[in-house]
Amino acid sequence: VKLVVNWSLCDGNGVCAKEAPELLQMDDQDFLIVRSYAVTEDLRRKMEAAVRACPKRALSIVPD
Amino acid sequence: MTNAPFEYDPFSKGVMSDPHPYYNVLREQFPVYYIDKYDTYAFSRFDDVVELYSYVDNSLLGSESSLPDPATLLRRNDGRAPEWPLDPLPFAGLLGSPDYEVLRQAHLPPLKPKAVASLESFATRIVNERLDELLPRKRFDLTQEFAGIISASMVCHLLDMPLSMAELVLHTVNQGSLSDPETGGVDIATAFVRCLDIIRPFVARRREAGADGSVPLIDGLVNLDYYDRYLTDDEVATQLVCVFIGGTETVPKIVAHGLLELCRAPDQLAEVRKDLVANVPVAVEEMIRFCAPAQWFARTAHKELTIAGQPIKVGQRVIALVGSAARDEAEFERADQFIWNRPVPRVLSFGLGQRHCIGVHLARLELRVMVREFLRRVDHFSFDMESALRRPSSFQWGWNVLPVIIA
Repeated sequence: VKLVVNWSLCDGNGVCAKEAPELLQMDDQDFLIVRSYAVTEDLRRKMEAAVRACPKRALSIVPD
Repeated sequence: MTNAPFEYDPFSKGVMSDPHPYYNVLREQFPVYYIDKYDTYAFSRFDDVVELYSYVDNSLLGSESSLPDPATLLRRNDGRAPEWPLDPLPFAGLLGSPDYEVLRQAHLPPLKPKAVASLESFATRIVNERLDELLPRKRFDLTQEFAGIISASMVCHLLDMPLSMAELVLHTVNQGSLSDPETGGVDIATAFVRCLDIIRPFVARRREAGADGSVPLIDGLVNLDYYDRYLTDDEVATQLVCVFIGGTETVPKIVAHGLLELCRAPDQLAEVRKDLVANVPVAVEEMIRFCAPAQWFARTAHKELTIAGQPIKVGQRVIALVGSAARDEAEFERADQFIWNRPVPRVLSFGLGQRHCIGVHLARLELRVMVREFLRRVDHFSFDMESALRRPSSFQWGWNVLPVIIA
């Protein structure tokens, strides 16, 4: 599975980065940096939490 | 409420005076409630409101305003959803993607987390200066004279207006959000024009000064290349009305009501006081859940869709009862009680999805600073509830006037 970001929706709230800091980080202007779009099995739960937490509904996980 | 058959109308006098008894019935018995005369479905459960807000594909838009008045809702759309011309540009909230996002992103930077965090020392200073003025009086209106002036001052700061205009900003916004006590609804159009008249000269001034980015809230819109043209002063000011109104009217009612709840629960207040820096941010999250005054927001269906199993046709409206969702027992145990340190993992007080509150970080900063500094400077306080006022409202139902007495 992989992560999809709706970039026009993303406000850079940073909520997702708290849930999955291994894959998602914020830069110094609060733009989201995606370290990897591939969601490995060991990080899947964290990424699902990040998707749920996004207040903009800007993230989703889809099959490869 | 009476023994008559249950009826929910967001503009009825009973609902505008106290919506919570109606919300209890809606959540338990009619979670999808159809209001025939408005061709509108009301959703009252937390999870259903989340589902509603999760449509971010132009299915649901605020194209008839997210706060339509009764007259608008009484007109049936008969399968058509309103479309807006883009020249001149209307308020972004009436539009869908990508226009809404283009306009939002242009003035978002000063409202992002790190930009807002940099305002903390400014906010702390103006809060303390205000308390220096108010505390010697021993009695003042916590909603307007304290929190209202602070929130309006933050709006002035972001728009590069003199802070001396805060009183005018606050008064204008308060007048604009009054619900008509007879017919319900808020005269958004008149309020909008009054706000525009205040904002427009400051947009013109920024454009004349070169809009170099030092006032990013305005400059970002002035410099926006919108499909090969620039926005006029009027169009820029139109986009800023949301921050102008939203930034002024909501937070003050939460501050005042939140401090009232702590005052009513001395044990909770004592716990919060043990470590203000650590505990106030926690208490503020419960204040946001319990005290947020906005009751509902409307959307119009632009595509066929389904919410909570209910098919919605093009042109029909839905309203998200965020005021009800905040008291949903399925999401929050003992939802009708204020519990300062309860977990609030999800909250709908700022909305969700495409239109999630653009000022969310500023609101949290203001709440934290105002509650923390008030409690730091005031050891004992009480309220004169005889003189307190909570006006009936279909929109912002909260303490408009809340006189505090400093012991």
